[in-house]
Amino acid sequence: MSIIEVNGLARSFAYHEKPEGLNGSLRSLVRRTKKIREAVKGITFSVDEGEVVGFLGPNGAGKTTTLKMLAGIMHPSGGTARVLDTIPWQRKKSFRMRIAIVLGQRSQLWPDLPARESFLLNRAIYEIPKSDYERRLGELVERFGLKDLMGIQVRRLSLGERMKMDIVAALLHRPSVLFLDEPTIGLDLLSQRAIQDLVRTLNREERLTVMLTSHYLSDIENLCERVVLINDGSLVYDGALAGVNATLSERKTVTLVLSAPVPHAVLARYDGFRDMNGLTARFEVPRAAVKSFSRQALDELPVVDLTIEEIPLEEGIAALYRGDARGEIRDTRREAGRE
Amino acid sequence: MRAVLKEIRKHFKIYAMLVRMNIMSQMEYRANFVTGMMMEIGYLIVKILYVVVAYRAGRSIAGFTPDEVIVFVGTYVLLTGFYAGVFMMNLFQLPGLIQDGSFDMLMTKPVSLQFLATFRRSDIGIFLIDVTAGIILVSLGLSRLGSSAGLPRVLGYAFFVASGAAVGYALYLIPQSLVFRLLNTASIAELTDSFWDFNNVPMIVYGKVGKFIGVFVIPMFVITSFPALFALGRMSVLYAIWGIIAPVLFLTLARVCWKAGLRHYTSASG
Amino acid sequence: MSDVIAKYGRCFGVGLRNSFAYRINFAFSFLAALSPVVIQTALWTNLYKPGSADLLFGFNYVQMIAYTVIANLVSRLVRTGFEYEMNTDIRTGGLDRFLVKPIGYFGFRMSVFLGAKAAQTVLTGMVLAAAVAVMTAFLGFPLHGAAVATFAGSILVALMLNFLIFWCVGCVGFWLTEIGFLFEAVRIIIITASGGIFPLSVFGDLGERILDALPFRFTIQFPTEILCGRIPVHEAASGFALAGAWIAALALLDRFLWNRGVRRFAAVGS
Repeated sequence: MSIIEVNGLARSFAYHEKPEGLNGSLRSLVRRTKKIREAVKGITFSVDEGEVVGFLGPNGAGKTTTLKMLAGIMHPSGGTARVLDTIPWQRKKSFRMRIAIVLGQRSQLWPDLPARESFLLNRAIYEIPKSDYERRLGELVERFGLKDLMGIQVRRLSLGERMKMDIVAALLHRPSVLFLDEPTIGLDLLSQRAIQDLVRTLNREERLTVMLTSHYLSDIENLCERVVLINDGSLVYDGALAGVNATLSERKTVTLVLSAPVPHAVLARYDGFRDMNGLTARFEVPRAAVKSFSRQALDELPVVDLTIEEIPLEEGIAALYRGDARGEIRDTRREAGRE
Repeated sequence: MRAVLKEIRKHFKIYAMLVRMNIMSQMEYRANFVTGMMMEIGYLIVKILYVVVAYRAGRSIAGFTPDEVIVFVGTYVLLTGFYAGVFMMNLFQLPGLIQDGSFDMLMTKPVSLQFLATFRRSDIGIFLIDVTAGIILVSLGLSRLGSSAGLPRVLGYAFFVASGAAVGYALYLIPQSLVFRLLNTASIAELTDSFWDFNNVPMIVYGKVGKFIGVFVIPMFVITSFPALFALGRMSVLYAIWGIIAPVLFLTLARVCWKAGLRHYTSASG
Repeated sequence: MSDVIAKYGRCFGVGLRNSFAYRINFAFSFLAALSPVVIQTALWTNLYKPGSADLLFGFNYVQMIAYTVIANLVSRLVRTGFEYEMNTDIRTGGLDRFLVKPIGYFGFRMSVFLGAKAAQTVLTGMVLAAAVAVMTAFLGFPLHGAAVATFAGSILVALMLNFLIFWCVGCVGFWLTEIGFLFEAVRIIIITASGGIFPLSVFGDLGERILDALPFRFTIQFPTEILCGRIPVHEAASGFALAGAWIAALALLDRFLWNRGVRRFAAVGS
């Protein structure tokens, strides 16, 4: 039985369009046109106990909205979902006792008090018996090296330290599912690494199911074996991280700086020509073909500078969505016959 | 039933912790804490000025003597402790809570959301100033009237104070529930805040119609006039019954508005 | 030509839509400001015996109602707020560029203050005119042309005086690192001492004599009584003289505080 089961989950937002011009403004006082924005367009996936699943996608793709629906904060517009065998947005007390959420942009700790005061509050909220609480707190503080920080006011902690405290606060009651929304946003690399190690260790030792959203590929790389790619509200890819990496680095951007202008028609003869700006021309080339393309370009064109780069995440995801390269949706778990 | 009692006990325990955390947080900003109390004392002086006016005028207000007016104003001051010290700031801060994402966090806690959102902050300095001043004034008025305060009288008074506080909480929560639709309720808050002062004078001054509306329709006057009437031994049976029903009725109504607003927030908003 | 119209039309459209929401907020704020007038009017209506001969605190009914309305508006009119900005300038070191020329900061603050007041005066003036018209029509409020002219003069004096008073308040920022709600607490006391809530005669003989010796009454009570026709022109003259003396005295005090404060500021840093 999966711990999280999502079927055709969808969420739309209604908004009013701001019209142009005076006529539009006057009309809008009387009657406003309602527009619908589909943030999540019917996604289906499931998560087993002990999995760490990363939701990756550009900003506005629908990751946080999906996470909010699964944490019970938002009702869907369509579809179903079950987490820990209940419907999340019914917000049953038993459900809320077994989950935890950490919002990267917003701490749950009281800023003017040491973190341990907020921990005590959580102990009361989650009805944790005293001995369990002290053992658990000791474990977590020891594991994350936070002993010296316990007495310092939260607002005086660095962003990385505060984030660790937030995660401790979330884990005190031994939740079955941990939702992490953009947990490493704004953190320096070292802190990002520390958080990632932390979560990974707990997942391994306690079979804590983790669902994490991020727009940093490194979060996913260091934490998850499984990645769900969301773009523009739809599920674009669901499977092993390795597959994503391979797909995303399937193509490269090759940028040529020329010493003399070359006619557009000449450049267009090369496969993968994208655009030209003055003396700079950009091409998108399959990885395997980069070597031969470069050799050909250097031979035939007046090249002064040649740069080979990864395609930006957003473009790569969009390419997957369009069905370029190997963009079909795959569920590697099903393929391996585990369903 | 036992589960319900256990939940109630849990919420009381959490409230005690929240009060403690608020005190500790406020101690960090001593200037604010001290000057905040100074400001409350300033407002207190203005409130008591109404008593001074009633006294020096030397005449009854619609059948209530100046000494009885002291009991009215004292009760008003006492209840202001609950308003300004316990629930008002939470209600007026709801928009901010929603905007910065804290509200979403509160939604995932296994504790009543309405409780957390409307009771998390408190100001014990303001509470103590108002409650102490209020009790002093009421005692002063009653002693000048030669009334004795036996235990039943004190308990009854305490009951109507609690009932008044509950009605006040509900009455102010109802318009603030609109925050789920409007997102910015600052001017509504400003307007309803100014209504609190209508209780600075005994409700009878507002005329028969005003009194009726303020007791039965938008029961502002139940908040402070009812306990005062009880203490003065001038409470009618009708009012006594209404003083028991009104808090139940309006707390329920407030809960309905809250839940409706919450439904809108989780289903329709962006 | 048509795109000029289109451009301004678009701005107008945005302004229209924004001002609609703005006007609701404005209406609510206005109603909120009206509350104390409603409360006090209800109180006086109950206290005064029928018939125009009844006097309370030296006022008959019409005069008292007029005082209540007009004092509220005058209090709004002479209100300051720059003391907060002054404090911020002291905190953040924004004073530095003004320190070379001692008149510089004072002149700066004064002109900003008067400039802001110019706009507000028109609006409040209109409300005042409307209120006076209503009272003249329904209450038989006596209005004399001479009184209006003298009133205008007294308002100028009041603005000047209030500015100087709150300049002292603002100077406190040189000595206290955190002011918290201190300014607000002080403001409430000053308004009360100025006759902004009730006329100073409610404080009794001794109280009134003490308060008469202070400058505050010239900011609210004095102009209000002039407009109410309670201060005939020849008496007003001596009032103006006294107010002038206060202005001179406060100007000296302001300068003294400023110099001491700046010296401390330069020594200690911001």
